[in-house]
Amino acid sequence: MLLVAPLLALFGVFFFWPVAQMFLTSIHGYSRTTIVDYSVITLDHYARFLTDPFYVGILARTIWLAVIVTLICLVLAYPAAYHIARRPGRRQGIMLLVFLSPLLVSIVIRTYAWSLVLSSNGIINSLLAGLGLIQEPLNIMYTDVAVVIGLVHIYMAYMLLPIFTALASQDRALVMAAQNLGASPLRAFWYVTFPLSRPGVAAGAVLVFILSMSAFVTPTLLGGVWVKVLASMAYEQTVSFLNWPFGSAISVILLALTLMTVAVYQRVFRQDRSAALV
Amino acid sequence: MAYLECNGIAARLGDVQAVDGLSLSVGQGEFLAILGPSGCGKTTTLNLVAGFLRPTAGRIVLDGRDLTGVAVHRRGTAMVFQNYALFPHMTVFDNVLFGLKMHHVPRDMAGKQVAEALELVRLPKLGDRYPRQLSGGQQQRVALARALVLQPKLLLLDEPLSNLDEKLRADMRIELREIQQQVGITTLFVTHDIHEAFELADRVAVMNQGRIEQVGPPRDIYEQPATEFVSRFVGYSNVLEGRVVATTGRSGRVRTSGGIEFAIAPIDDRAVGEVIRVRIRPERLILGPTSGARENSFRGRIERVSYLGSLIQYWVTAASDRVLVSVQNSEQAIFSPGSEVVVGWRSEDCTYE
Repeated sequence: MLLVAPLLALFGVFFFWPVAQMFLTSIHGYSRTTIVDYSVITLDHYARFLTDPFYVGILARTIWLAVIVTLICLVLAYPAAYHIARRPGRRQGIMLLVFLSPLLVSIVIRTYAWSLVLSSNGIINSLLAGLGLIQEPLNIMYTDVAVVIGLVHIYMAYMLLPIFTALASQDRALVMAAQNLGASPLRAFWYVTFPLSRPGVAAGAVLVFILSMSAFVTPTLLGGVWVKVLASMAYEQTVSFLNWPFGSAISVILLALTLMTVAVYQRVFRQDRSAALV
Repeated sequence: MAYLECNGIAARLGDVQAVDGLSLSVGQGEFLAILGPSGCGKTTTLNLVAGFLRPTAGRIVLDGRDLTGVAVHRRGTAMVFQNYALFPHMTVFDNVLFGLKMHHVPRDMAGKQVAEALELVRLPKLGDRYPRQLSGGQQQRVALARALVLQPKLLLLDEPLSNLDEKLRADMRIELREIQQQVGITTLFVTHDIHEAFELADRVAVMNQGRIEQVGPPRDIYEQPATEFVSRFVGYSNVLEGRVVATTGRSGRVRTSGGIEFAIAPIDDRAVGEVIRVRIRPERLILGPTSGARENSFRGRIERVSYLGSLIQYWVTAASDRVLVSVQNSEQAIFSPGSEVVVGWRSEDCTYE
């Protein structure tokens, strides 16, 4: 207990207390003069959010973007993780470093770099125009596509690592045994390697999903005003419109989504563990 | 042609020539043990037969079919791995069912065969358990059932008993042999444990540095070792090095530099004056205060006594020669260090290379 106390205190002061504060703010009234009207307790902000198609649309877009990013990360990361897990130890380190390198660059720099690459006179458009493949520059910046590219780039690492760990810790004799018992390499993968890597896939998917859903910098810089997500909306309400109660309500909804994701993961994963894990 | 025929197979693991022109034949229904120290290439040999590795040279023929270039899953061999390699995410039943499913055996028939296989290894009631809920011995049986249920052409066992504790290992040896006899399956068994190989196998192939040094029934391997390596690997061997001083017919006499002179028979291929290294097992030497009824003997002094319970071991020295004598513990008095004794043996207990 003594060992966790400092961290717990830090979390208490800088995380749990602000979250509680945020929740309280979200259920109080809004006033133009005092910002938060503590004399009124209300669920109006939630009602406003959930009944306005504009806000529900942003909620849906946020979830949709997170789903797409998660799926793309999964499809790209799994084969890479599989490949790396089967290399000899020294090469694994180098290859992992390559894929984790986006994490070494500050998010703002990385995102601005993407905006240079994707903009209408950026590298991609110049290249395609130079090759004569396009006449007009492609509109990539400030679209969902730009946001997805930016998010996949950073969060790939969070998908790759757990899958890699799950695959690298697998006993190779298991696949040998499967083949020896008559499974073709493909079926050995399907019946043995893949099911045993599921905990890694689940962990990676949950991480990427949650991170994508609550991403703020990338959607703001690459999506601009055209691609609104919950995080940028909460920011806008709180900082630009000074409607703290509504901004807080949006944040609470985002937090609720995150917690629900974790809860589903926990449930599925626990079943998985009771049935499967060593 | 033998049922399983390995002909001059070779394989490299990195920079090491793990298997180096190995040839071996196994008869149908035979239980053959490959015995050797770690790193001798025995597991590599098994992996070559199973198809996990491709030989760089040579041919493997099983039941008249050349296995060169045949994929692992089409070879009809079944292996029990050293760590069993049971699928942790499947029940015991599903583990045993796995191979049948891969071979598209109809479900109801497969279910019956799984039940029979579990019966065979005496685990009929544990089908619903997961491997991690089983003891080492039970896991071992599941691995065996999983292999046997396919009625493979060849059963491959890679040190299957080495992860069990001593007592269980002794029980499993007997059981493994019984099951093998009952099923009548041709079995290739890899081990570094002499007793395991001797107790289980019809024939033992002693392997060293990627080659087979000798193949034969356990008794031949122990009593007529073809090489000094075999002799030393399967038990201790005293070596008396000397020159042939006389030959008469099929017998001859040898004298060591320390002056011990003794008869050796048969000795067909050595001429007078040649250097010869003669090996004698410690238990074939007898020890007494005076010469016993043995044709060869020398006088020596007991240098060291090791009391091992059922056995007593004496180191006896005479001039520059030193031998180990192993004596069954009996009602006879135990010699003490420093005693003068006579070591005796028969000429036919000598072997040489």
